[in-house]
Amino acid sequence: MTEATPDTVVRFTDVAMRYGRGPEVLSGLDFDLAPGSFHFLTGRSGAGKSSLLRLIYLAHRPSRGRIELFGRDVAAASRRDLAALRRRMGVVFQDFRLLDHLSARDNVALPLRLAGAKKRDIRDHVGELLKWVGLADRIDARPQTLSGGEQQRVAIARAVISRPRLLLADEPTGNVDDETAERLIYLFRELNKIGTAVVIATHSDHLIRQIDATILHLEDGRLHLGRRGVTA
Amino acid sequence: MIRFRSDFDRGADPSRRYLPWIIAFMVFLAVLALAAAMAVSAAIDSWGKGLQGTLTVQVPPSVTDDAGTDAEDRLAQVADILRGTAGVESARVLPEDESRALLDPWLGALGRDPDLPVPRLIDVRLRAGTNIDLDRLGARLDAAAPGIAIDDHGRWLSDLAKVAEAIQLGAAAVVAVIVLAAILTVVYATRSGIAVHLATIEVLHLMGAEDRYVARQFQRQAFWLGLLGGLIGLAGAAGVLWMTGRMAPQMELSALPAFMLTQSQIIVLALMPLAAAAIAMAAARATVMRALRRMI
Repeated sequence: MTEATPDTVVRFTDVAMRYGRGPEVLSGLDFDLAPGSFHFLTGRSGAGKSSLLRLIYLAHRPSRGRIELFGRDVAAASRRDLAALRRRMGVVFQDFRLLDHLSARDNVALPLRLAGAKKRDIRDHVGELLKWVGLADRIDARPQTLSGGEQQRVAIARAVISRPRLLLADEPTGNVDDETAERLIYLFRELNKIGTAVVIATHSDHLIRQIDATILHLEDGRLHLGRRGVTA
Repeated sequence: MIRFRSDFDRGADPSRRYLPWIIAFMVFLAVLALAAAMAVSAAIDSWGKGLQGTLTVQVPPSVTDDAGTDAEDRLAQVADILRGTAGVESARVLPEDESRALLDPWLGALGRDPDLPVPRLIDVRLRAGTNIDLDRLGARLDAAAPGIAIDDHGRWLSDLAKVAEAIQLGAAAVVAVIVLAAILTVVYATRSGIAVHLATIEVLHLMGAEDRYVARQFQRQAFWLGLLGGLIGLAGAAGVLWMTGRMAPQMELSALPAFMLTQSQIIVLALMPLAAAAIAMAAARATVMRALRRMI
């Protein structure tokens, strides 16, 4: 797939989504995410934040409308192109989705391995990043031996290791202490500075107040562009 | 066993434990079926080759007069005619004892009774590439010894060819059924593996793994499990064939040629584990690719 430089990372045009034959949980979604933009996705529990993220990271097809990622209409993309689009994203899942039989190191290394990085580069980058998120001494630990907060940091490290063009995070600081949350937010901001578009789904007003970001607020299955966050 | 890096928790997949044994059993059966077909075909081929280029002339006892005095003369006369026929390399009159001995399997000691009239036989060898007009030859011989019969073994050879063909078809059917069963086994084992590893597959998929990346891990495992099972099955079949080869001479089946496989046949049988591994790999790949296509 060609590496174009589109003016939008994500473009939704009149997108709706339903699960199976159920009612539409999201509808009338129209928005663009520019490269290097920072967004908070807010809304009550069950408002559809995770569903919207699922549409963006290509885990679910829209019931109608058009989704473009990195300038590419996903409905017209081949399976290989869809895989390539996914590799340009980093996702922090709400339930982390770490592979239990792999060490923290191997979990974090997965995106680089999928991208075909060299073994030496993988080892160096993974070690450095795990050290940065405070898990240098847990590098060989399996996820089930890690605390919730440690697992979350491994999940975040896995999402950012390949310096994605788009970072999606579902409640990324929900299980960590304030100090670690600060470090993680710093990490997101640093990635954002080098051009990564960031979307963070959160309930945390504290988090929203720290960053000057656009608010995408979901209510009754519809999206409302909200106030900008307050710069920390 | 060779270890390879995998994104999947191999220990969680129960098919890893039973698949090699099922493949082993199938390869065991396939090797025995093929070896049996090869050995029987070789035996039939050997019989056929032995009979090609030969004629058996049967001189009925009626040509012997009551005193039996000129029976040998008539036999010699028929043999002389045969020897003088273009294309005949040799014509050997079988001694009476030898002719009677051929009846032993059917008549036992009764066939040795000198009062029982038995036909005399002349074994005729033809030169290679000779095509004799049997009707003309028969007419000439009949003039010298009425009631004579010439057997060119055509019907026997034709029957042998049919038996060989039937055995080969039977073996091919057995192998085809085994291959089908192997494919189905691998397909179900792979499906069970996919179900066990579904969460991992989803994570890899969402992180941008291409279908072939995921499929490669399943097909690699299927290949090695198939090869392991195949080698176990081949070892078992080789043991049985070796024992059969040792026991055959003690079975008094002197009519059967020795149980022997040629070098090329042994190579074909030795490649069966590799074939099983390749089939397992292809079946696993097809199953995974099909399952992955259901994900967006």
